[in-house]
Amino acid sequence: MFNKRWYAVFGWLMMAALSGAANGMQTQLSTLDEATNKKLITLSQERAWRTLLHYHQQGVFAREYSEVDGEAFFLSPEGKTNPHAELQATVNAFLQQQDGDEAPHCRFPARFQFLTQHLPELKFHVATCPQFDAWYEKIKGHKLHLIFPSSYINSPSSMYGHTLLRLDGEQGHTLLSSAINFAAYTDPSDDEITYSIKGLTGGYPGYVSLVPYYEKVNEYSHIESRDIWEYELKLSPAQIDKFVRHIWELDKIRFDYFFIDENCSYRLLTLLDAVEPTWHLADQFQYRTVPSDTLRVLWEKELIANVVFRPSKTTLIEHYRSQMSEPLQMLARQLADDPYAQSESQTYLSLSAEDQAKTLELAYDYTRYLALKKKVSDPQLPKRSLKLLSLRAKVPYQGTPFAPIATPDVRDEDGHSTLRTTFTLGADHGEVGFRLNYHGWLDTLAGYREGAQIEMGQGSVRFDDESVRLERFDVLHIRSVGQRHRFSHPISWQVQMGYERWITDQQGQTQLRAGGGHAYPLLGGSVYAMAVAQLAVADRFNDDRRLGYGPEVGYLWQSPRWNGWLSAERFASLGTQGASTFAQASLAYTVSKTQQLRLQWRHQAWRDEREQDVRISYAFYH
Amino acid sequence: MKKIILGVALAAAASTSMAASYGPAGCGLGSHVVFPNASSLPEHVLAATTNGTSGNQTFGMTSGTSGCDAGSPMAGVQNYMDQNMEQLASDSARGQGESLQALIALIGVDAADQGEFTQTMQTNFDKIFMATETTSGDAFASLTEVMAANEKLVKYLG
Repeated sequence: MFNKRWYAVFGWLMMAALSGAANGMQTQLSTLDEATNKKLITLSQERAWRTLLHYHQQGVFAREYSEVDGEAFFLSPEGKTNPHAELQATVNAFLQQQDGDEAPHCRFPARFQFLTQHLPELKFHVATCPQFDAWYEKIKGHKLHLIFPSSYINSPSSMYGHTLLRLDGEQGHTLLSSAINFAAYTDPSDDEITYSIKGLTGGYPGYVSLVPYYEKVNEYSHIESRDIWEYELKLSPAQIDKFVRHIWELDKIRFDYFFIDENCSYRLLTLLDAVEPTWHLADQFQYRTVPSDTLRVLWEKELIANVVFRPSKTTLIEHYRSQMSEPLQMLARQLADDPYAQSESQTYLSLSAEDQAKTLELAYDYTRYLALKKKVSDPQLPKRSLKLLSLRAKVPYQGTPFAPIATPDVRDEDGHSTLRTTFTLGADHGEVGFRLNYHGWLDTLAGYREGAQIEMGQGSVRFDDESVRLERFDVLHIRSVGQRHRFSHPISWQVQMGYERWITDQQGQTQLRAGGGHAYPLLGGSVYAMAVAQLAVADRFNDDRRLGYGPEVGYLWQSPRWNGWLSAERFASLGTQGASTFAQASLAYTVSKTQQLRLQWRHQAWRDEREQDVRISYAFYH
Repeated sequence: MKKIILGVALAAAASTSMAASYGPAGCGLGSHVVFPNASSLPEHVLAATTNGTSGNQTFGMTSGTSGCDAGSPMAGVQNYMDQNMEQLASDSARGQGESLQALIALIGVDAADQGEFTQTMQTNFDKIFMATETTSGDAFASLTEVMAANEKLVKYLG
């Protein structure tokens, strides 16, 4: 024992002397004995070492490499592709008598702990690390939560969601805990296309960061109005300690960020894998990582101890509204519009303190909704918000006048899986369809938001006696209807980009369409009208293209078992091409969480051509 | 009475000196107002889909509130108020809420005095959140004044 250590120290002194001229050069110690070298080879193959370096194998034949892209993370120039070289370099570095924040011992505290446990005989130098020690003392935690801000109404693109982690320490309140977030640092000046391309190809850098949790709550819960689910993870104190040490190693370390696969949710799983390599969490996601899917994996592995629901502003407004009579709601709206006069009104003054508190609070929340969601920039609006709070502070009622909100039975990860395969049968043809992501209007509603659809990569192939051909491929198809009422004024909208065949002439067209309008509640569903513009390229049109525009009206009704959707559109053409009409009626019945049966009628008209058909489908989620 | 006047004077002195030592480079600017203008940043259609974060955010492990830990615990309070003006105003108006609870934890108010603290925030709402132009620095100064004038709360000013 003593011998080896002495060798090491001697070797280090020799090297220090030798490299005196080439100051700062990496020293390779030749003094490690053969047994140790053998041990290093074995150790470098261990998963526990590789997960600490974020090694990941893409496919069976591909070479394994580290997903870390920041060079400062590696001590060996070959560190990204050679875990053994990185291990040697790390061991050599730890043998040196270096102290202070820049010492490798201080920059890689998780590696240091891991190697000290596995190679105790090397007796690494225990460095003093003022910065790390102070930071560790400040954030040291006893509980780790996975935080999932779920999607919000009228913003289908939020359905993809985001996940982060929260470490609770000695701060005294969860709002003051540390939020650990992995996000892409995008360039705000990039246009939509650059943004998409860079995002899909890893053109943006991703970093792990740590901020107080209240910043994230303010961002998601108050500004974006997303409900937040907090999942307490079953981690031992030793695992949490390792986690804290490991995130320090990732301080300002760049990972290229890929929107579809190596995104926030994936990265958090690799952080947890680094803490406990036997969990194999990230391995479940080779090609794409959807936040709600990562939660399903955590449930499967029984790593979730406890769930807490944190309702958003919008959810709370709905909850408050449900506890108030119609006249009280009307008064709340009047107070929001003119708190100065209405607070003097007889109606208001005759209310009980509790009802005054209720109306003022709903009125206040509505003014904030206008400012944050509707971006109303009237300078009088903040004054009204403050006046409402000031009035509320004077009501002799301390605390909330509303009953607490119940935790919803169904969470986002309880919803259907996002991959969908569909088998369709028509009178003279069959169709097989596949959808990569995420949720459509007719899909099983549980775990998703009413009126929100975002489908990416939806395609189908049609078979009949004569041919097999591509019938449709939607790169992106977003639809959103949000009901308008006294306290909410959302815009309903749609965007679609893709290829589809018409049932009249069976010709395909490549199209881009977008529209916007309003939706209102009707008989438990939403009736909507949108103005739509569509640019289509197909042989059937003059010059092979057409700019169509016109109304789409529809009715959408969604429930746990049944979904129904009626729609009709009539588009005129820019120029002299005539109008096109399309109408459809669809009904979907949810058999189980993984299966649906559907019935659809379609009708299409173009010039003097007219066609309609009826089809049944079986959809399977997996 | 004398004690209270002394308390106010002390608090005023404390808040000025604190503003001096935790100015722009320290614990946040203290310049946030209750209801800042809604952000008009262009929102990418795919932004939420893809968890992109628009530039200029802090990143790293130590960027958060570092620099605010030194000195009096009230320095951390000032930074917290700067970041949570709206939540604090709305919780103070009802005399209850988790952002008030976090403030209580930061100041270190004992369980026995927490009721007094939340009630004080409610009754002094107009004093602390005077106008829409009131900055977190102003609100912080008023808070210390209000606490200094309260026999049970003055001891937490440190």
